[in-house]
Amino acid sequence: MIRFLANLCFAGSFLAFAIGTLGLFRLPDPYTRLHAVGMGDTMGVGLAGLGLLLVSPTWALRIKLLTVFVLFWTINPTMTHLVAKAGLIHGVRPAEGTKVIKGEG
Amino acid sequence: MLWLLIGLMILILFVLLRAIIGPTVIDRLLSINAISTKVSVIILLMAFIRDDYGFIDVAFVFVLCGFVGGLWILRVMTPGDWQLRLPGLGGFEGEGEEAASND
Repeated sequence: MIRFLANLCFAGSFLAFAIGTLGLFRLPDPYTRLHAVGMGDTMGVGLAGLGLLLVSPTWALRIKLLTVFVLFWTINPTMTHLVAKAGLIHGVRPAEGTKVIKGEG
Repeated sequence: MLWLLIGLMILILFVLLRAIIGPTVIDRLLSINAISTKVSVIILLMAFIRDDYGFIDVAFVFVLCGFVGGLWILRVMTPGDWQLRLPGLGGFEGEGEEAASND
């Protein structure tokens, strides 16, 4: 039963990774590709982590895995944000028809 | 569990294809980031397949090294300070009224 649930989580994880990679080829713009890959990778890592938590034998391993996944969920959105900001500073253009929403700064 | 590992390897090939044909530098950075994430998940799966749980620490260090390497590439790519000023975006200009309403 536990193995079945873990395999279900792994299937969802592979689906999320595959949808992120599909978006990498279908979307028109580096920023939209960044969005697709950030979403897909975060969801895929979360589901794979849930499956690995289900099949891990001891509690010490579960605590170590949780540390790794908290690190993932902190680093992955930070890296996505920084890459998008560096692209704007570097001068990569968005797709045609993109509107700039001006912030307070 | 082994099939997820093989599927992630095939996905890494596709992401590498985007890194090769990517028109801008952002695509290549994004591909490096995605490949690093997928390789970390592969290392974790390998720890559970081979029952050798020391690989979890290897994955931990791999995530940290990927983050620091990406930050270094970003810092080299964009010299100067990191203040984002919208009207002077280096060639990209908005609809026009945003630049006019800037105070």
